[in-house]
Amino acid sequence: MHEKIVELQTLREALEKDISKADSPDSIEEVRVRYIGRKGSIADLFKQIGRVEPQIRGEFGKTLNSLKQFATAEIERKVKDLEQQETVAGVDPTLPPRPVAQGSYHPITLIEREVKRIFSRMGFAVMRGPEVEDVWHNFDALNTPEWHPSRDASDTLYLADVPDMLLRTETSPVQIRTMQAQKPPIRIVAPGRVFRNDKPDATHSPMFTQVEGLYVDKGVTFSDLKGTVLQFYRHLLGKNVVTRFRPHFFPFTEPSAEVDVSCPFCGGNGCRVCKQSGWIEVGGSGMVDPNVLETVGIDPEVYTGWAFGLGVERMTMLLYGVDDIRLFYENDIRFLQQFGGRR
Amino acid sequence: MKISLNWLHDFVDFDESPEQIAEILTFLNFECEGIEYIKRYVNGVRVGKVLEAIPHPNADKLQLTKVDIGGEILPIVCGAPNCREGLIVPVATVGTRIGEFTIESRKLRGEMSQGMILSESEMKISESHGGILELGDDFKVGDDFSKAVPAEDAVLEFEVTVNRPDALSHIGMARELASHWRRPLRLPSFEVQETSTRNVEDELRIDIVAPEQCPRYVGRKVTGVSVQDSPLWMKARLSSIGQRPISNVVDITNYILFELGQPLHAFDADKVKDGRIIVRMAEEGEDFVTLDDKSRKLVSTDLMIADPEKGIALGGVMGGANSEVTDSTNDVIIEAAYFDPPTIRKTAKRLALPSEASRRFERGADPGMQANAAARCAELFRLYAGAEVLQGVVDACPIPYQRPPVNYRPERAGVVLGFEVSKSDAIKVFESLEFGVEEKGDIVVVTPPSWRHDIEREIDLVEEVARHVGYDKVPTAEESHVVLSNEDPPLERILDTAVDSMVAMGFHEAICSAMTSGDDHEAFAGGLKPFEIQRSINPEMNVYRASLAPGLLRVVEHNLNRGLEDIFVFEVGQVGGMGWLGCEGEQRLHLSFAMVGQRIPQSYDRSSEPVDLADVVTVLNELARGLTLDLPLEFSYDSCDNLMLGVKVAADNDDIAGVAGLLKAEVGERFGIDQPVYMAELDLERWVKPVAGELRLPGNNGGYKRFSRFPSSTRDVSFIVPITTPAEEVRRVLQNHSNELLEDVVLFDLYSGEPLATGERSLAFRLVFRAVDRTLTDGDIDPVIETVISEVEKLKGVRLRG
Ligand SMILES: [Zn+2]
Repeated sequence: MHEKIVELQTLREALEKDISKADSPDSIEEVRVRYIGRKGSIADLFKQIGRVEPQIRGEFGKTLNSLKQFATAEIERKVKDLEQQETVAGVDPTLPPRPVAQGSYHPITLIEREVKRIFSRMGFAVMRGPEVEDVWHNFDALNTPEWHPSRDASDTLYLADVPDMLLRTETSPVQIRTMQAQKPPIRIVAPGRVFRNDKPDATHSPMFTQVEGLYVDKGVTFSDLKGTVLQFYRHLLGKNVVTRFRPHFFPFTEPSAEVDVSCPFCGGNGCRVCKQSGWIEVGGSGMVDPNVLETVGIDPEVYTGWAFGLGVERMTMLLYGVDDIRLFYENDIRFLQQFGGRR
Repeated sequence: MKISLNWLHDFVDFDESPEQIAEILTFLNFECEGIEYIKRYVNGVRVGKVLEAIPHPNADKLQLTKVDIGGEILPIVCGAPNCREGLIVPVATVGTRIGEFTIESRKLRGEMSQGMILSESEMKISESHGGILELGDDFKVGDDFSKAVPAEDAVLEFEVTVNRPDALSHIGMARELASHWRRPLRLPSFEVQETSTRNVEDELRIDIVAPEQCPRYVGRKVTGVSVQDSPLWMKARLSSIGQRPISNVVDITNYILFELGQPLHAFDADKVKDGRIIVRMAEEGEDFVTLDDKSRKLVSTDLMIADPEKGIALGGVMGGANSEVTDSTNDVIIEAAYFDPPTIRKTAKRLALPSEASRRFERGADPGMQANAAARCAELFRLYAGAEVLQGVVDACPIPYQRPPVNYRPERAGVVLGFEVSKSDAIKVFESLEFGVEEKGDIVVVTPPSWRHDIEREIDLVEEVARHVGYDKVPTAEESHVVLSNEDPPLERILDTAVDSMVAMGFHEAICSAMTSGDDHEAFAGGLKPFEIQRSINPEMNVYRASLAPGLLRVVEHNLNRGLEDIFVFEVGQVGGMGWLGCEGEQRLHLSFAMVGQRIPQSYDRSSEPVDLADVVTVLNELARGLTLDLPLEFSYDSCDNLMLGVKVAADNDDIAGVAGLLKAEVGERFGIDQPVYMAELDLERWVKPVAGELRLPGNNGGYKRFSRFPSSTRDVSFIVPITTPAEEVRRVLQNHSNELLEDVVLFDLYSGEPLATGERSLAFRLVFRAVDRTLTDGDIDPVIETVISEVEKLKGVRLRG
């Protein structure tokens, strides 16, 4: 390589070194003057072009031009860098974050949405119904015997001035309303508030949230119920949980079952959450009683169906470790703001 | 229902552990709620006889005794007042452990004592505090006492569902287990030795005047009853299931109730006039004094057990004080009846007299059990109350029970369960449960036994099959046939979006009790009429809310009281009754929010800014945007009753969808809040008017609008306007009288004060113009500006600010 070209390369290397060493507006200005100022070294070299041997003059001129462009751009970039550094240099990064008006979801909403989301993926629509219900939808249509204790005023809250109206005790009336309005196949989940005549304490609340699922079609079986419930809890609580079904009595279903799910915290080995049993009771379920189907005009010889329910508060308490159900309705902001994350 | 395993052993053989029994019954419908391990301190206890009992020389309450424990005579110091010469007693010898301590040989007030005479409570047989236990002559001195009362038992408590009253007894649970194990069930003996020569038919007559309410009434009579303590084994069994032993007469009827599930009643026969029992309905207003010495007014739906003169028992609910068995009773009439469940339920509920007996009658006793239960009771009276049993039995049964047969199609199990159970397997289940079975072609005709009221339909049989085959045997479907058949109603997305929007704006979501205080509703002037609740849990929950506002204000109060300063909360929930928004009796989905304190919180380098009315409007606008409602909102500036400076959110001109503003201080004070509360309440359904099936795009319901790539031109105009002229009015004139080039009108400055006159303010607007196809020139804009200025100046008292 010709020595004049080597000289240009050496200058470029020196320039790069000087730019990187510059650490203030003054020092980069000094670099700028020294290289691309009117009396700078690059201007000097331009003056020498005429004296360069003709066979390399073309290459020399080209290389010098690109060196000048390079120098101009790199110095400019460094100037901006140094300016920005100056802007942030005055800021103490250890200052506390500025308060942000951050909203929060109620934990019941978070879990209810999770349940909705899982069922939605299984093709279930969300249905809601009135909290103030009539006796027919809440009890009669659900095959509740006239003598069933749940009908007593000691269990159920009735309205004072409107006869046969009550605060619903389950979200099951939504199932009745849906089956009255639609033909099978029906797949719905019904979340909502329900009410019982219970004195409030750490584990009881006269109002709580329930989600019930209903599936009615030809060929729906208890086996499907077991499968769907298992899938649901695996999505909600983790893929390793298992479920078990215990016989029980609910007027609305027959056969009826209580559902237990293996404790997601200890894998079923026993811990404080599951009271050492390895199992957690999560809700009722069963095959929709033929009487119920007949009441809403669905032929129980042709169609079968299952239903199941779960208490959202109970699940929420379990998952977040909330130890007093009253916290949900007290709405203390120090409680609420712990649930800021979105799903 | 508590079940003693020692007791259960009478009826079925097993060596399964208490835990295994709990598990088996839990998976047969009877959830075990707890196991109690009973340990009685009887090991090492001997039967002894007090040979001598003399006062202790140094202590008033102690006696010095000599007790023969069979071949050995021990000196024992005893403090029980009933200790006396000749008694047969249980004695703990030196070295025997009684609970926490071991009996030692030691001196008591200077006198040697080598053992301890025990009471029932010390041995944990019962909680009786009647001093040392006096044993009968049937105990042999020197015998091992633990032969009489087993040292250990396990008591399991089960939840018995309301459809299975037959399981409210030891026999009932034994039957389930016997069926499960396919082992034989041993019923207790119903043999009775009728030792008296007298004939019951001569002394007892039963007339059932109300056969519907009392289909069967069985009576027996015993004579020469001696009321005393029950045998120890019976006391121990009753105590272990939580029943306090009282006397042999009471305990025997109780024992049979828990053994067979049949409630019994014992009358003092001498107090039953003419030995005649009449089962009739009570007269309206009839007074009756029950066993607990309370006088009760009866109604015509109560069932009365009476003699020709008076009522003697409230059928199935409680006996009468006038015919009660006492220490002086000699002859006893035993009642074993089957009462109509609804009748008993009505009376027990009306008089608030639930009992073990009424609990069984209410749900349905076994109508086939009365004669057996009466026989067993008479026999136990003979054995343990020294009675003689009269010949014969009076069995009045005007309406014999019937259990109609139920047809079972073996394939039906497969249809419902998704799991085939063969006909022969189903039959095995039925037979093990003592159901009558008859095969007719492909159909199995099943006749349920007398105690199974719950078997009425084929589905009941399917359930029995599933229960006894085991729910765990039903396979868990790998995947179910999913079809997207239903769609969320539009309101569901609105609900979620509203919550999302509020949270994004920094509000905390609250969920308040829908049962709230009527007083809190009354704090609001005008038209808040919630539903009243009949038997409310407490005064703070005596109505079903007509508005979310009272609950939310309680949340504000709670948080202020706990020292929080900036409170931004909202709730989305149902309301009913007559709310603010004219929803007459309808239930609506409302959204309410409240803001208290600083909109921008104070920080180390920023000052705070308190919430004001503009924030309410801003939130409402943002909410509307989140819900993809068309902007701008219509605000009506009439102040409403409770929100000073209220703005109403109007959906249509006359359909008011919400109210918003600054809460009147006097309302706030009713909630103990002394700070400004800015709030709003909206009827979401009325505001958004969702229509099922209608396309509603998330985020932007209007769709994409093309925007210009050319630069904009802006012009600022400012007007001096009377303070009473709303800014929105001016803005609207500017907008309506511009042409299509106008892109936006923004109020960018608001000023009042010098040099403006009082009652005036200055509003400065920036008008943004832009064309889609070119860069605008002054020639495009100047005429528009001239037009809008002259139009605005037509407003009363408005002039251009120079
Ligand atoms: Zn656990």
